[in-house]
This record gives sequence, C-alpha cells and structure tokens, in this order.
Amino acid sequence: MYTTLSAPILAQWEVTPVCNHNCIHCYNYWRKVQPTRKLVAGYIPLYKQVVSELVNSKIFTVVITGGEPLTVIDNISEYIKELSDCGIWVTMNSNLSLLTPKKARILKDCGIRSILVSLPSADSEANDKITNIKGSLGRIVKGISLAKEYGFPIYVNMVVSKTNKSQIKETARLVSSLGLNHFAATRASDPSSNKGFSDQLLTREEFWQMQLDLEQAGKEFNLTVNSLEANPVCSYGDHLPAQGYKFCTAGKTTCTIGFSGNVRPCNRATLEYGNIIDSLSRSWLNMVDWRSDAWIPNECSECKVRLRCMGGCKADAISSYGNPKRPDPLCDTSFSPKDRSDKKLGLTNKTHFKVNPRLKVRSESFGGILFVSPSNWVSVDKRLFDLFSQRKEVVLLEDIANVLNTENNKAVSTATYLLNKQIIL
Amino acid sequence: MNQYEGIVPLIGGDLDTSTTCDDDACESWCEGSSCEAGQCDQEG
Repeated sequence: MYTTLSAPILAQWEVTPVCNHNCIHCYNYWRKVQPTRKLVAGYIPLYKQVVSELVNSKIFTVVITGGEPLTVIDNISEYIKELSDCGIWVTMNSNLSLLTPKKARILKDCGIRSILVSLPSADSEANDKITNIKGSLGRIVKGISLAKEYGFPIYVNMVVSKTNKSQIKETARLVSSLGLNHFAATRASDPSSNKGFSDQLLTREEFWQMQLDLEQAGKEFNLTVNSLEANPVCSYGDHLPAQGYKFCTAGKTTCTIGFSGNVRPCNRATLEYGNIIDSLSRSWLNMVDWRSDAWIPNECSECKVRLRCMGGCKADAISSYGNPKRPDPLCDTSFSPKDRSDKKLGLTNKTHFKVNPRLKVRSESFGGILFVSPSNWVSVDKRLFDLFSQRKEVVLLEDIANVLNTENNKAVSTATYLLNKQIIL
Repeated sequence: MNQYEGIVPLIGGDLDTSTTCDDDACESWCEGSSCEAGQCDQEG
C-alpha cells in the first residue's frame, strides 16, 4: 500500500480537448470524434477553480497538456501565469506546429519552463500517416527551431508503433541535428477510444528492439534517452534500461485534471474520481485503488519488485483486458527481476551542506515532503521536516544528528540519502 | 529496517535509493516517474 499524500506532487492539466493533429496512437479518450469546441462553456470560473485548487493543495509541478495547448494559449496564459507566480513549476506538452513568435513570447511571459514535443518520425510520409495531417513534419520542426530560439529547454518524444518502429535512429539523428539533447522513444499503447489500433502495438520482441535502438541512437548522437511509459520491470528481462525503470505514479504522486474539470489518475485513464469543482482533495482521496496492493496481478505474487512495479501500466491493463488486475501486456511473468531498490549508497564524508536553493516543502501527516524536482523529492518525518522548514541556507551534519538524536556517524546515512536526492548539495 | 533515519518510505518499507537526476534535465522529462539509472546525470 502506497502512503496517501495530502495531494499529488505533479498534476497534468488538459486545457483543451482540441488538437490540430489526429494521431493514430492518441491516448485522449474523447478523440474518437474530433471535438470542435476548444474550451468548455463556462471555462473561466472552472479554470480559476483549477488554479486555486492546485495552488492551495501545494502541488509542486503542473504539466499543461491537452489536446494541443497552443490552440487555446491566448485564453489560458493568464491561468498559467498565476500558477507560475505562485511558485509552481509549469511545463507544457505540445506538437509545437502552431508555434509563432507571438505565441512563443506568451509562453515565455506566462512562465513555461520547458516543452515536451511529440515528434512521430523523421520520415515525412510516416509522420503524415501518424498525425493524419499532410506536411506536419516540417511544421513541427519549424516550431521546435522557434522554441529553441526563445530559449526553451526542449525534450522530444517519439511514440513508437509498427508504423515507425524502424525510424528511431533517423528520428534521433533529426533531433540531434536540431541541436537538441533529449530524445525519448515510448511504446504506443492501445487507446481506449480508438479500437482498431491494436494491430499497431509492438510485440515484446519489438519493444526490446525499440529499447536497443533507442540506447544505440543515444550513444551515436550523444542524446540523453528516455521512455515515458511505465513499463513492467520483467519486460526488460535482465537488461537495466538506460533511462531507468519507470513505475506508475498515477494516483500515488500524480493525477490529471481534464478540460471539463474531471479528475483522473492519469491522462490515459478514463476512470473519473470527481470534479475539481468539488475540490481536488476529494478526488485524490477517492483514488485509493491506485495506491493499494489490490491491483497487483496474481501472476506477480512472487515477484520481488511487485510493490513498486504493480504489474506495469494499469491503463494498458484496462484498455487491453478491461481489468486493472491483469498484468501489463508487456509483462514476462516467467522472468524474476532482481530487486535493485535497496542498493547501498556510497556514504558522504561531507559535514557541511548547502541546502538546495530550489527546495520547496509541504507538510504531510507523517512529516512532510522535501521537493527539488519531480524525480528528486523525499518524504521525511517531522524531525527532518522541521529542520528543513527553517529555510536555512546551510545545514551541518551535526544539525541532522541533533534533530534525529543520534550519533554523527549514523546521521551520515541520512545525509547521504538527502544528497543523493539533491535536497542538500 | 530503514537505514536512513528520518526518511519515510512511502511503499511498504521500500526506500527509493535511485541515483539522482539533474533537475533541469528531468523537470518534465521524468514526468514524475522514478528514475533508477541516473541517466539524467549526463545533462548539466
């Protein structure tokens, strides 16, 4: 059972149902028929409520997504700015094909920190086939170049299906040629709204090849590689993927707020747990199944990493089998993964630490969260939480030992952990 | 037993000792998921 936090660490906000592309792999559950209305009627009070709930819940990071956010950026920039002004780190997912200098300036002014771009393929024919829009590759590339001119950190994601599985290397080459450093290849999943796509899904062998191609392309073009889906640990066999394992965070540390205010565990999940109008907290607390062990598949009962992996992606299990307790289709339950979670950290010999200037804190029933970034945050008890809530610029090993009422040599382990997560430097 | 006193495991006693990621490279990149290989360290 995953401890219930008072609120998510990160929330995705689907600001519009509309997209100028219509990708064959799109996970938006409402996209069976392309919606025509960019914003729901009465969106202004609704979006004010979203901002208020995100700020008051002390969410650390918000990802603006959709649909395509650039179709409504003129309408929503004031809400993004309010989130940024309140200290929330805001990023955006986009295909960037609608980016203009005016829109890039709006994004800068409202505080967008980085952009995750969807780029299906470097092959223009395949790109058109996937986006269902002629000439889409050129417009995406133009948008990327413009966003780069405006200084946005850009991360490219390629969703991989049978249509483009052989184009990972050339797409990585294109990314590198654009002067970018980050490239992800993510397996396509069966969209709940788009039956008929299942023959496009990668087999486990093709998934393996995607991972190998990704890692090879990363080395060849000096790119940091990633894969954005929560894939089951056993799907990789003995191989430790270069990007690390990704575990499902839906309902545990993340959630999604839909364009009509519905609150879901993740973008791909169709299950709704309430509406933001009734408070984020109520919806969040309702997602208890996603935090419990109840959905760990029976096939995983002997697996050492089952509590973290939980059998892979629940949205995939639901879309493939209609049952969250079934293993992710990529699971290879004949393989027993090693438990790598308890590896020993090399102990620090430092006694004097700078507190990360980006540290944010949030109180929780067990103590609190010390947060630096979505991948670098730590849950601590009240003693450590109180120490770091004092907003000191520097902490000493002795300070940590004192609040824990322990010897310096025992406090070293805790300091090492905090260092590893960049809470202290 | 938790060897890191003061750190609270959120999953059944299982602490995440994954290698750290660099902040700026990982903000939206990791999308909240756990990174265990520290690949993001390569980016400054």
